[in-house]
Amino acid sequence: MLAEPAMATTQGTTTNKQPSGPTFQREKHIQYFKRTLQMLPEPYTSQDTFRMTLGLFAIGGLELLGVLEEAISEANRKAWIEWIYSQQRIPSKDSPSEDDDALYGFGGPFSGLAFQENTDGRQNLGCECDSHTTPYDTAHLTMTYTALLSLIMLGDDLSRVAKEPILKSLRKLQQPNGCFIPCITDYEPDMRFVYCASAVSYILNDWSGVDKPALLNFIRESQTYEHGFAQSPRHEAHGGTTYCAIASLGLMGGDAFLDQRTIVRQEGETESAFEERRARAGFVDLEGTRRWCLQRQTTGFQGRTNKPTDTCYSFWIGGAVAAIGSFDLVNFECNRGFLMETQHKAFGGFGKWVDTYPDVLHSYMGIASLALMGEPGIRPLEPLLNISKRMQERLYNETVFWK
Amino acid sequence: MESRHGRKKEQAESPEVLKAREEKEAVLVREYLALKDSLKELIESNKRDNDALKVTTALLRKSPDYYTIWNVRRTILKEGFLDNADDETANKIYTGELEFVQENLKLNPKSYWMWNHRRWCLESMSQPRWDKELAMVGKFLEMDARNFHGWDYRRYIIRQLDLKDKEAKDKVLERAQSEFDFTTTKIHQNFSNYSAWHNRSTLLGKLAEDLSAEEREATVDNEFDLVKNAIYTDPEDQSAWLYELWLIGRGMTPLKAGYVANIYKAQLTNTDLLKTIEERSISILGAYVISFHPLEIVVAFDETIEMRNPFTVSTRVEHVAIPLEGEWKATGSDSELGSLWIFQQAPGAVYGPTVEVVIFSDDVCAVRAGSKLPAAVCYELETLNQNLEDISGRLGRLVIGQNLMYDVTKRIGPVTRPDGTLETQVVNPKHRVTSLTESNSLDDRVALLKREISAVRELVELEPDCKWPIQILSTLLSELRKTISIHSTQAKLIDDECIELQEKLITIDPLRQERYEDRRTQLVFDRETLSIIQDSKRFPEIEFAVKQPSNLDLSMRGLTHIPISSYLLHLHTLNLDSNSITSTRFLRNLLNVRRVNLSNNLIERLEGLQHAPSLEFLTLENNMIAKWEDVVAGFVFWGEGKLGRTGGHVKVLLGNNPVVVNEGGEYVLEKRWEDVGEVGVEIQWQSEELRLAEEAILAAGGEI
Repeated sequence: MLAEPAMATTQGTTTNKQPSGPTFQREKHIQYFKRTLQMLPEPYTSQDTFRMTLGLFAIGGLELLGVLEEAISEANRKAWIEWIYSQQRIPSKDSPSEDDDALYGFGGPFSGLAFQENTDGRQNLGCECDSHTTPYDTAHLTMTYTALLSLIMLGDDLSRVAKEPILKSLRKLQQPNGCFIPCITDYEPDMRFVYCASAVSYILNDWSGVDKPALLNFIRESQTYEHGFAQSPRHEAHGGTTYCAIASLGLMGGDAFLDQRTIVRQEGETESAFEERRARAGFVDLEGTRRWCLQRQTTGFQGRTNKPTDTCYSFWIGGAVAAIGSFDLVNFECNRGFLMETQHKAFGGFGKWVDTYPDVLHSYMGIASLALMGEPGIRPLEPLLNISKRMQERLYNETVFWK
Repeated sequence: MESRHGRKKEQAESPEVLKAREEKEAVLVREYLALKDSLKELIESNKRDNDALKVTTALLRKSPDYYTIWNVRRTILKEGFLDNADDETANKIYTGELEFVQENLKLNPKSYWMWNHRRWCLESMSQPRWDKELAMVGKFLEMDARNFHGWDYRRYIIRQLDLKDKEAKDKVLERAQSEFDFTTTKIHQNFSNYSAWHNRSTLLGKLAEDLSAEEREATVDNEFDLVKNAIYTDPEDQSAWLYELWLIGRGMTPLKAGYVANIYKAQLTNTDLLKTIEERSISILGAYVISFHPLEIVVAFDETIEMRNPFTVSTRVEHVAIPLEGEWKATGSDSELGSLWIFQQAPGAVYGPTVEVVIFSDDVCAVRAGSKLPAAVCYELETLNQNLEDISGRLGRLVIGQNLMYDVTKRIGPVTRPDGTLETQVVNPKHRVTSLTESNSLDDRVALLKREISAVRELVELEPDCKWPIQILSTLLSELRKTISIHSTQAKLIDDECIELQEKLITIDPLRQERYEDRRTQLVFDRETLSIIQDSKRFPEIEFAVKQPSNLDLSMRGLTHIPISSYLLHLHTLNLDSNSITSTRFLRNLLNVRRVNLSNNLIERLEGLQHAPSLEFLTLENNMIAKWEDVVAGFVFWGEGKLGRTGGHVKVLLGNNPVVVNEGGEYVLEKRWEDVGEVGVEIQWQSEELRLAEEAILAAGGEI
């Protein structure tokens, strides 16, 4: 049973869910994201590979602030779309062999393929590649996810996305334990890429690249005794991975949001039928997860037990709580109060902590958390895909894989 | 704030400083782009020499998460150096790489790719020095005791070593013990290092595998001592509390209050009857006929359920059971979910002298996690005497408008499924006492809980404003309550204490206030409705008590909602004056209620009225109803007869709601009444207090 907003019994008090107190610096944040798109400042050069991701946060931030179309001109949106497609790795016409080790999808901008203006009016499909031409700079699952979301927001219908090669690559990236690695050369399968694989499958509206039972099993095994989720089994529960786990379950749909304990062997049911039914449930303990998440609220949220409060967990934990339908139990006032402190008064954007320099990830996450709380001036957010509800509708109605 | 995060506070920057900063950044960006260009050249040239390696070194110092560069570097190393190297040279190269990573890790301890490169080296080396790695990561965790890369890496090293020693179990155990001791050291250095507590829990299970029952108990006792030590040092720190909860285990948490008590009783007499305690049961509180023409039957559950398959209704005609056609619906406008389900016979369907309702476990899906209907239930109804006035049932005669409601049922079971198999109960006699120990007797669990409760209670007395011990105390008391009968004095004492604890938590931990309010409402409601339910003979369920109160006073209880409205099915009068209730939706399950007082609550909108068929008088003074639409919403389906109300007179008191002022007063509202049509609703806009006062003046011959 979800609680209604807590209020005093005296009459005439207004609900505590109404924003009050310090001002949300909406205009400054808009300027901040615009600047980010124009120039990636020095703190990010170490993350050059993830330019795609940073672009997503800036575009997504502008979208949540309701100014995407006015902040980025149509010509620029088109240019962005072309740039993103230029980062797509598609099979080479010469060697579309079955045992091809190349990985398709979207990658960082290093492939030697600078973005080229379309002089002949042809649309950019991406970089034809195989394992011989690009052994180092393969597609990356995170970037495939962010590229797809960015394309939707920029108004593309995804018609140039090479779906089958991406699905084929997903099959290669899933590990025997159900988890995903982001690209072939990685050594660390973990929950972040489970989420990317789930989101990519959801956007492409095709789960044939994923072994769902194995994936569910991996997620369940990663639930710790405090009932948060860890990067992989036996590790410590963490706010970011808890979001990734829960959002993946939500995107998978079906019985994935059930608590495994609700599924009990019925009289006359065969062992295998029972196991199959159980395998479709996603939680070991849903109520425990809710408790763990809410215990992480300090003013904003901490990512792990006894760690400092950090802007991004207002979304990672907040989004997880929203996904399981319990966001009402969050103390809005304190969370908002913390976020108002971490927004940079002069430049806009949000820092990790109070008085730290803002960065685009924390800026986006701060705004996403405010969106969940219904802050005026921010568009409503769909927590599972981490995208505005408006864009979710666009995915359903205007992209080739859904309409 | 800055001291808490250990970060320097940044000064507000002037435009000049900002400009200088931007210029500096621009230089760095140019340098970086130049390096990137050289890497591009490098790849195109296919060079695999020292110069090439140097370019990657420089780039990685700047950009450690750039996976392409790591990939290029590995290819250069492999093809240019390692492929033709002897073992010793290769080892040297790998060692060099490890040093390179280690030096950079100090600057970027959270770079995934650096840790990955380290793994690549070790896994490629012919003789990796895992012991050195363990020492390295130990040092690393001295610098930052919470770095999860460090802890993950540590577990990874142990896994590699354990794999090597697959055949030597003693070595693996010895290693687990040494890791366990490492967590002890870390915990003693800082009790709030939850990463260490976490790792401890993963190791303890492994260590306990081969222990005897006595040894396990001794181990667990040691752990409880460690926890005590930590919580007495800093009761505000949650690490040890979480670990304590893990130790105690939550095997029984899914159960509803009172269920274990039933199991406990049964265990003393008949072990075969013992049901699995890992599952929480849904109870069917009762089933009643509410009308014969057409036949209508209501089934009440003790929680919200979804109907997976329609419950089977059949009738016997000449000793042959044939299905009786009709439709099941939950009360309320969204008929997919509910705790009260009504069957209505299809028009023209004929039923014989007996009607049977069977509900199989599979038919019912709980909305709340962890619940299920433990076994199929059958209700039998004799229809020979259809004069509801004459029939005396378990509940006596309950008037619903023109109809009578009576208990026509006797429950029988177990029952045969449609496919001929028998539904039986699952047996599971073992109880977990802690996470690591189990026992055949629940007494052991009870003893443990009592011991821990008294220990925590001492701490609560010492630190009355500390939220963790209070939460743990409340959790432990709830666990204990499950082992005693819900009607016992001890259970009542526990309820009172738990309610007090929630109230304390509401005042000292505002961040989770709504959660505690929720819990408090649930506890208060359970306590106040005890007389309505009883333990079922078919444990571990509960059902309606034989004697039902017709009035219930829940005024001034601080309730925020009605947790289980099906409990209130038989009430005639309900007083909820002066609570914090925000919705009237629960009224849809109060089939018998005539008078409800909801004055002085927080209701913004009328809902559920159309499904309260007996309602005559509803007081909603001093609420927050602000718009006419929110009044009308209560009556929209009125007259359509959707298993609800088809008409009848009801009086609603709406005095002192903002709507009276907002909508321009009585006159306008009366005109707008046409919006809902003539449905027999009388609304009093004037407050009752004022009306009585005026009446008194008039009676005394005065004028208003």
